[in-house]
Amino acid sequence: MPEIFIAFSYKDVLYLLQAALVTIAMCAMAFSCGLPVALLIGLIRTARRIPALRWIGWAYVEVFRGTPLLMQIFIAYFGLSILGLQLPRFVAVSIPLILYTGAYMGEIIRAGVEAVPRGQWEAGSSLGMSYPQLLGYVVAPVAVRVMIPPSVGFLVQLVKGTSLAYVVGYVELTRAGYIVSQSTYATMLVFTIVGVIYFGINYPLSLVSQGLEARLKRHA
Amino acid sequence: MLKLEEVHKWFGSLHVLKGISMTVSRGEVVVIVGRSGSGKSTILRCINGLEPIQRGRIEVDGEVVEAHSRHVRKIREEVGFVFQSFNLFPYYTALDNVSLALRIVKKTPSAQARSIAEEMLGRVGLSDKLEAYPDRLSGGQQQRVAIARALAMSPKLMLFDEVTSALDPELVGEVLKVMQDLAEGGMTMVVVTHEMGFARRVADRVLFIHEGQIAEEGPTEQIFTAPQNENLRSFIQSIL
Repeated sequence: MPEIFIAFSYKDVLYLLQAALVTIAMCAMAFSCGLPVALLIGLIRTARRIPALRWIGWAYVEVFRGTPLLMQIFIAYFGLSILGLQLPRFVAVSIPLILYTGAYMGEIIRAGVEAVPRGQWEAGSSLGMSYPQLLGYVVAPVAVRVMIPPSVGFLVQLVKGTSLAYVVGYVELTRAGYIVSQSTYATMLVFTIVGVIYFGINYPLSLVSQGLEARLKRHA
Repeated sequence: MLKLEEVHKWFGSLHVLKGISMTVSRGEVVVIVGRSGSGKSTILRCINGLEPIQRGRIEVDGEVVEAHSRHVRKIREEVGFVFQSFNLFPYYTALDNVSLALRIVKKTPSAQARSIAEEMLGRVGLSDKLEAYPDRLSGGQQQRVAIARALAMSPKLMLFDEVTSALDPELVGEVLKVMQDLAEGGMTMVVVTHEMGFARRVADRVLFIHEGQIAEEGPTEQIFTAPQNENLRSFIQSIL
């Protein structure tokens, strides 16, 4: 057996799994911090009576959805450092991921809110409910059901999106795979394992989504 | 209780209400009739501020209704609205549909809100459907839940917007029955409907709307037996 394969050991797998935890943590962070941004964007995009707000929301979404995430990470890390603002790697990767989540989830929230028939809003307001009450008690139960499948789709995309952090040298799963393959030369093996780990993260997400959908489908 | 003065409403360039003036006293039941598109439903929607008006004045119990204002919420708590398409909240049981606004708008404690909701559902004959979701109810049952939902807020005024038009013919009666009971109980009501039999039985007064104006109004019997306006005469003939 050639030397190069012996170099690859279970320790490398452990290292990759550790890096997978970083990937999961990044996703969790980006998603949870991105959701408030998304909620804001989704709601101003559905503001019926204030066109200026709708326009701001639209511009935000178009900019962050219309440019590559890779480029946004580049700008946050290298671009800002040219301007004298050297962000730590983690922050430089986090900000674009959060804004990116804000744009995509914002659109998903908008679609969810728009899927709620006007009659529901009217029924709630005719009972004296305020806008936040309408959103929380009348719109959300309907909208959330519409939002589940595209949200999971986005989460899967986000998990894969975090791999772009490698460009600034932040060690997550993809970067870790690169490092291991450099030291062991077992490139195919390493990246196959990396792929399996990504799948291992994403597939349960799909299962959870299916479960949720089935549970919420009652009384549709 | 309710006063409209020279109310005008435009949808874009379409002039739908052309100077509507009317008053409704406490305990009175007023039925509004007219052809489709005459503006009947728009009047109701303006009364509880779902639609803004461009000119004129609407007062409910001495308070001016202004759509999109904060204050309009206070008025809406006291004005029950029942829609043609029921608009029940699909993911709430009948009981929760009725008690939701009590809890979150009126801040009624849950236990009390629940007992009020049970009582209201009992009044519309649905004591056996408390835990049913709207998709398990017939149209007539859904509409009765919607009426109970509005009643639970103990409104001073109830508005009914063609509430039987979306129902199968055999389900119309149960809803009209509930409305008649309400009227007999002294509720102030403004009812837009095509049910002329109901109008004759229950209304104190009938308004005939034609092209955004009140073409004729008067005591119920007079409107049906001795209509003056030519459009009203042909309208009555067309539906009887």
